[in-house]
Amino acid sequence: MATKLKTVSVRLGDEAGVRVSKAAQLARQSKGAFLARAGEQAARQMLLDWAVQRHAGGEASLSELAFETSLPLEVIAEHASEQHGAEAVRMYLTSARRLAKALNTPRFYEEAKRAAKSLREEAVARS
Amino acid sequence: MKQNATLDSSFWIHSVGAGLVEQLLADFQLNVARAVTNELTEDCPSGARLHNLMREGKIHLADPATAKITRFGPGERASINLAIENEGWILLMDDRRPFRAAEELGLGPVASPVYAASLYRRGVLDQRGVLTVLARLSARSTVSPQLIDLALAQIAVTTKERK
Repeated sequence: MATKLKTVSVRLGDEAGVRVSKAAQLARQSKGAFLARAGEQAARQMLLDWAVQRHAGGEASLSELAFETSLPLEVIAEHASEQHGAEAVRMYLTSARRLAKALNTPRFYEEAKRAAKSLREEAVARS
Repeated sequence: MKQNATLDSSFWIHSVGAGLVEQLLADFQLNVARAVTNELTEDCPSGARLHNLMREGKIHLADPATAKITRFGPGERASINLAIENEGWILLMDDRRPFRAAEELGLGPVASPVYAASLYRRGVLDQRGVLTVLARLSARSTVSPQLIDLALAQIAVTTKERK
């Protein structure tokens, strides 16, 4: 299916114009193609950060945010995991430790720690 | 005959990430709304898994005939509407706001941490297995920490009872 392209005009100052020309040359792209790609990447990053913030605050669901931003739902979820995953696992371990102490089941906390450790190992193996 | 269930996109992504898909397929006949399949695109890992299982006939496509719920995103709306239309279907859902709305409608939604705790209670997962699942769900950070805490508490109590 052919993609319908939209035209957006930009005005650059002298210095910015020189920088864009040089960067586009290095990227072996026309200035227009370079700016289109840079703009798309910046918009995507900004929308991802905004979506994750809104989801974390309970203001919108992943489904709503995917609809609103035209970003794949799974990409938003992955971004949330990258931004807040470590903190969430820390909270998980805090809860497990508290419960293990309250119920006098020390092995429970040991297993939770082992689970968190295996997650870190999986993440390292993936990267 | 297996219990029918439907799910939203967040529950599916979390289940894939936590390694719960095999248990879900063993426990439920999963029926997924087209709006959910549209949200879970094939170029992402969880979406690819869903579409493969649908092609293999292990997960069915089901669309709601009516749109009683008009709030939330398209996938959540469709899942809730399917659960309203099909009395007795289990609604598997992880996103907080639609989850609450489904509760208010009396649909009794089930979130992934609670499902994991039930697998431990039934002996499908051992303590190490269920704690690994919950750690993975926590790491997603799109699962409510309160639900993780609740599941941890259920597991801790079950562990204590078994001692």
